[in-house]
Amino acid sequence: MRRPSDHRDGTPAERVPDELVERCKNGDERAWSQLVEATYRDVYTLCLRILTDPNDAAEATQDAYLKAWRGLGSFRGDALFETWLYRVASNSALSKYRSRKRRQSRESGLQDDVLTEIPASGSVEATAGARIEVQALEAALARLPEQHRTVIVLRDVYGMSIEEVADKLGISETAAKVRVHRARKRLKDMLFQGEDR
Amino acid sequence: MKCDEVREVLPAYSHDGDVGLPVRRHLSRCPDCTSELALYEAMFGSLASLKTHAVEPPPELFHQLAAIPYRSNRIEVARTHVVRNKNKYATGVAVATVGAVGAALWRARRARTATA
Repeated sequence: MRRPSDHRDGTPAERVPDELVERCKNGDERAWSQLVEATYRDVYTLCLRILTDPNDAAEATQDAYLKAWRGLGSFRGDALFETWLYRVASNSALSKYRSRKRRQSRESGLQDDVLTEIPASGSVEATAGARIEVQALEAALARLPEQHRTVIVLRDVYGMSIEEVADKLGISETAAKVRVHRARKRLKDMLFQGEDR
Repeated sequence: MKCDEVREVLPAYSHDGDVGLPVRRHLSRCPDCTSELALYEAMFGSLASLKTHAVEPPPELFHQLAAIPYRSNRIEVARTHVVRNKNKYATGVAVATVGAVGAALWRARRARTATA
């Protein structure tokens, strides 16, 4: 089930209090549980949008939180904790994406994977119109080739800069710009096929 | 500017607003390209709204994540133990290797003697 968050900037519904992060840094396992509870749906969703496979997304989420736990000491609070966590999570998801890609290339020689759709789920909270829109969009995103879906998710859903997208994907900024451009055109065509002139 | 040229820059214009005057001028008098721009605007609005719709994770995931400090600490304890006792472990491995090689040689020699 989807849970609409309150924030419009992509951070989880409620901001993680600094005090909670500090307690986690000091090894407080109870505080860690609270921090996980406050953030794991959004982190899982980010991973799922990149990977589309629920099992892969769950594994990437676990990897992200393991890295977050180990790397908490390096979080200095310059950015929001959620932003830092999103970066860690997108790195984990992309790492999983790359290893899946390598495995698929070895096994079948295919460039793109067989896409699985994000499981459709109802939203009792959302309005009827919004529900249709979100489902149609998620279905279209799931049908995009992985390379295109990844850049759309990072750039247009989570608002990362071109520099950051390029860095995460290990490509040049020019290549990232071109990929984003093509992905946007393709997604638009998929969404509005009947309305194109 | 021609419609084809304008449509090439519409995604960037719709998202970042970074185009020059000729594109804006074209849009002001081309209803088709303006409609195309509206499609991109709708798409970007919907994409941004995805951030606010979390998908419910598998039920067991929370417990797995919450247990990370405990699991991580156990791994850490094991790692520390191995690092602190690495000389003993190295000696153990060396003795086991020498023993295994010795046993193999002894068996080979015995087999040769038996055939002779």
